[in-house]
Amino acid sequence: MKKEKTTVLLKKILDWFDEIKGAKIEGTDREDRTVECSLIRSFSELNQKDLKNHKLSNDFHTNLLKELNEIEPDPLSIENKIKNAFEKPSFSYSLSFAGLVILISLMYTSFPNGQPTKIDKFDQNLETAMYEDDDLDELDVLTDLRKVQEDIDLLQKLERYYTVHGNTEKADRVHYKLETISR
Amino acid sequence: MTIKERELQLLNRIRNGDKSAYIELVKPYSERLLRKAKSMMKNEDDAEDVVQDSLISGYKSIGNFRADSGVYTWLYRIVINKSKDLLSKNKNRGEKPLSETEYLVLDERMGYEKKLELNDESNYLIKKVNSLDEVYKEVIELRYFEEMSYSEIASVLNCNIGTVKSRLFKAKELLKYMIMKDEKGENNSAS
Repeated sequence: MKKEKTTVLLKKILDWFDEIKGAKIEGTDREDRTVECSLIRSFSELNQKDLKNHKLSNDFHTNLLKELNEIEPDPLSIENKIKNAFEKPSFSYSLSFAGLVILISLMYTSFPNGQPTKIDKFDQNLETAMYEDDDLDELDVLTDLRKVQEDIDLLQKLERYYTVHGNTEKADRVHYKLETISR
Repeated sequence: MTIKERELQLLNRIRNGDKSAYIELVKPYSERLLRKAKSMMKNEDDAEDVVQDSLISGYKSIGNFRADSGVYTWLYRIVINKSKDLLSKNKNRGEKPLSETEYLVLDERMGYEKKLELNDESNYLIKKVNSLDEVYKEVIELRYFEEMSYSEIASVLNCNIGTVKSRLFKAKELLKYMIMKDEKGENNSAS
């Protein structure tokens, strides 16, 4: 009796599938789709009927709101602060802008004709470093430079560069630095 | 406006201090969460406490909630954790666990034994699902009962999407096998 009932049920499932599909599907595909469709139908039915049995007390959400009025959300974790910052459009634009500036700087230093070169940068960095850091004495920098022959060569190149390009004021300053080093 | 857009809008309001927006956000899911809590706690009062506790926890951590996983999935996970915590506390307090009979009476879903007046086809299939190993039953429940996506299931089960897909595939293969056996009359227990 049980066996017959099961067979009838299975036949109904398969027939139903054939009806809605209207297409002839053979073998494993057919079985897979039958199981899939039956699961969707059965659980959907269960879901709808079962949900009616689960009701919260009438004042649940009112009480919840009262509870919420007593508390405040936890502060953001550091990880999420960083994530949020990265997701902010203004931050993304700033990041892109900074990238663009770096790219332009790199391109700029690659074109020596009439453009600032690595040597210019070196001189500027030296000046800037001394200007920005009060504790950094020019003499200390020059003392450090003295120890490294490559740096002296670079300053000599810098002097030549400024002389050739007619920037005598800067050439004199570099020359003065070189003299200070050699003392 | 899609549900996702609506939820994002509510989340913004909550983050700006609008507490009633949180109620609006969670209200559509409350009863589904209660159902999950009941299936774990086997007690209606405890289940409602778990849901309230979970929603308060959710509110506290709302700043750290990232909307990638979906509000329901996020709350569902909190309910599972809170239920486990309370079950563990009750166990430590030495409270007597419910007997099998009480469990069936009080739990209106697990085992799918309650008379929900489902049609014969659904009753048959759900009984088959219920006879699967827990790992397969769980994934079928999340997919077809909770109607979660693969990524949401992966988030709830804390595994990757590949694992979810393979478990679902295996679960359906097992179901097919059981149905075929019944069809051939090898398994007389099914009805």
